[in-house]
Amino acid sequence: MRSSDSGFAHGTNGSPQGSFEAEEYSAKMAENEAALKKLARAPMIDEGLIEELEEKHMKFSREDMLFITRDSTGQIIWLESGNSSAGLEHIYKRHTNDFESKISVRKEDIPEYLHRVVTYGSVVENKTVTRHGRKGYSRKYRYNGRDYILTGIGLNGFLVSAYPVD
Amino acid sequence: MKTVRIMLDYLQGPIWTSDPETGRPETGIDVVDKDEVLQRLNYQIQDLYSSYYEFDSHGQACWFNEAQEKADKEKMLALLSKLRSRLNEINDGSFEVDDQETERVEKL
Repeated sequence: MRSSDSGFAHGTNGSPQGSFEAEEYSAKMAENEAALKKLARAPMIDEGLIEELEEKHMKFSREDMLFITRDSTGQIIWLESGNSSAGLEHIYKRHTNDFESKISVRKEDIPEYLHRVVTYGSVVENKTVTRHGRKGYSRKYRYNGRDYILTGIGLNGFLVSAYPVD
Repeated sequence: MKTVRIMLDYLQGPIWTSDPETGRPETGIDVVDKDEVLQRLNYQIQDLYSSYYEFDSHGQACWFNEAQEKADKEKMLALLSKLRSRLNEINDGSFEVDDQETERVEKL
């Protein structure tokens, strides 16, 4: 890949303090950070799976989607930024401390970590639970041979919540 | 001393953690996990809370019925109160209770 195609800001030869004003340097660093984040997130969105959701006329928010994958049961699972009741915001609000204290996963790493858990983890428990006529899944994944992550997933594959358990 | 956490989530809780199918607590504390009164209350609360979640509904992948949760506020507080009372009744000094839910529900 040519360096000009990388999406990263250039021109940081030598000491940034020496060749650039601090402000310009900070702007380029922010630009690089944004490019890195974009690169890191790109593999977490599988356009083919999104097409499958669309073909099934399932509701989802493309712009709020953080990852979409298929787990070992074959179901398409996705995480959206969500709100205080469901999705990443809910996980942050309720379970950040559990991720940090039980399995040393930092808050900012939770989306990528969950993507790996759901994609590569083995399902060690899968309960279909019906509440007032509506089905959902309580699904436990084992990842890395040592981490156990319990999840609440809607029948459509929307990841409502996730937290490490013993 | 062990801690019994009270927290609600979709298909989980309020006794953290529990079997979502039966409501049986899975805390690893015998006196808690084997108590049938707790199991019934736990299931009732879990059932009520999880009923607020709807999928592929109201134009969203996941929709939470906030209005219904507010309407059920007193009912939920009464159930949580019974749960805490039962935990206090059976507490043999081997655990403490960390209630992370009652205050949130009171503020609804």
